[in-house]
Amino acid sequence: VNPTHGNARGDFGADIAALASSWLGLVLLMLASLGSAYLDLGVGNVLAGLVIATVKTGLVAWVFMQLRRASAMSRIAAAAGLATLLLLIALSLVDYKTRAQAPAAWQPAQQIAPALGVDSRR
Amino acid sequence: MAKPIATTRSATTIPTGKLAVWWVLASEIVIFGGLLASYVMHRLGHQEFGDYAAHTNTAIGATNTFVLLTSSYFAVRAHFEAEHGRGKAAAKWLYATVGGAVAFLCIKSAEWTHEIKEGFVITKNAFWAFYYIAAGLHACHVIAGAIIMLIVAHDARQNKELQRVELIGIYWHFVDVIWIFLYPLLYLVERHR
Repeated sequence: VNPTHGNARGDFGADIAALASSWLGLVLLMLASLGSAYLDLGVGNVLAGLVIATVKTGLVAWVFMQLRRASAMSRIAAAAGLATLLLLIALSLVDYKTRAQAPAAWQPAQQIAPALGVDSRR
Repeated sequence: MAKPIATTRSATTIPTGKLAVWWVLASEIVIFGGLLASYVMHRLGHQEFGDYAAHTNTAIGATNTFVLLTSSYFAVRAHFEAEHGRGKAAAKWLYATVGGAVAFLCIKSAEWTHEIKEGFVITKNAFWAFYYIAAGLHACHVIAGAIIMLIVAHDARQNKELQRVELIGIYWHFVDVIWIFLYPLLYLVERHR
């Protein structure tokens, strides 16, 4: 009996060596991300960080979260989350990119004077 | 005692509990996705946002990333052992994962203490507000995961409810994924100057 019930084939789908290799790959990608931050790539710095993060996420989802042997329903749930995220970011960017006015000036955080007592001074 | 419906009933060929975890994660993406989207908007609109982000501690960020990635490996090893019916071994790996969570939180606490002493508080500006909200929300997930993992490990040690090892593992990997994105956004900005 398969204790986790979720595996149609009855095997884990990866041996310990494969899991350890994935962990090593994740650490190396983390170091690559760290190293790229110290290169002057302009907007490429942000892109490099996000692309490497996406690759790491793929590795975690595929091997550690076992999406590679997951059922269609689990994959649909994962895909729904990803699609929602992309929709959220895309619609926000559409709004941002199509506004005519320039962004508001940077405003440091500040304490607003309390309104109490205004009437009493009249 | 009756077994929970989530692990005994299935209308979709996979256990309801497992499907529920995946749908919880899909909804969690909206929460963290909103935060990440707001980060992108601020970053695009204000150069100062990047300037302030340059003050975070890269070494601490990298250390915590290493800790979480390693704890994710421990979690999948627990799943591996549970899949082979070895409850005690699974529990040991789960305890190791909780150790990773505790280490992460201790490092995070030390980091926040240092930042606050330096004057980088949540009301300093939009970046630091984002930093504390995003990292704080993530830390709440770490704490919740660690508590649930202790409960699952307690049962697993007695070879009970081993299917839950995989479920908490999936959640833990998601917590790891969130940090994987927070790491470059919070700790690797404007380092080349």
